[in-house]
Amino acid sequence: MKLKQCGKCGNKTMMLSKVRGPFPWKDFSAVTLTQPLELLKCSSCGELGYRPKDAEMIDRSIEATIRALSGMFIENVIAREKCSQLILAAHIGITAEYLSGIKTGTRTPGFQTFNFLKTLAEDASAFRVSDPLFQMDEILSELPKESYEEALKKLA
Amino acid sequence: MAEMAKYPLDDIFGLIRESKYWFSAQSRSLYEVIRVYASTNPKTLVEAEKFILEGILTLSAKNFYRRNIQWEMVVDQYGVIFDSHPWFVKLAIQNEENEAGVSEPLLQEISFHPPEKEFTTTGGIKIPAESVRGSSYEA
Repeated sequence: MKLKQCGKCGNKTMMLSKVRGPFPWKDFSAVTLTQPLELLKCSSCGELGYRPKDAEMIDRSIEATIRALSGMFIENVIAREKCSQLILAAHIGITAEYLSGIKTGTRTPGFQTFNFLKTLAEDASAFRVSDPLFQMDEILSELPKESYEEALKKLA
Repeated sequence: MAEMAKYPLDDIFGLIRESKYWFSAQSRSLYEVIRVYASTNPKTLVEAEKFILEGILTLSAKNFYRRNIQWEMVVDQYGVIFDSHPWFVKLAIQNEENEAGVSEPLLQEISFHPPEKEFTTTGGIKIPAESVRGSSYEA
């Protein structure tokens, strides 16, 4: 197998290997793929090298992974909480139409929505807390009056 | 006499147009572009690659910084302000065998990231350093 020189460590130990990531992508700092891809990887330092067209292949795999995981998160939350998509959308702060697009795999959420869905899917208590009305009276009572007034001033 | 680049820019541009290039260190190029734009204009890997190639295609002799030897290979270093951001660029051309076993020149893109320290190109362009660098995640 032909070895290429790694641009990070300088060793001639870069070869085609099965890689699942993590990859930074858009506003995601790290995405791990469901299925590995064959990419140039340095066996000394782990650095990756890309050939033309590799980026396109990785982008597709990343987007498919994010869409598939997001759909699974939504189904898990709805099944566990027995709530409607409309209620779940209100917890996340997105429209029901957008949530539906994510659930059916036609839309790719940004990192914040993805990470929120992941949190709701993995932590049942997070769903209760993310209700926009959850303990708002208590939370408001904890807010120092000065903080509110300062925020108000900045809006003037 | 001022130091000259080893690899003519016309050769570099030609190799990009023929798709005869590869990126040999993602953490110092595509991933850095993605990181820089994550909050303002998030980029996919394809978009980051296109951005880097477009950035290289804007280089002129004025952007040349210096030649260097890296792991017994001569590399050319450049500085450029592209899309209002400063970038440090490191390139080399090496002969490699293609799939048919024929040796042909291939552009090796080694670095395209915000500079760690300020420098001035031979053409007098000041390339400022980026204040905050690095990612929490190593790929």
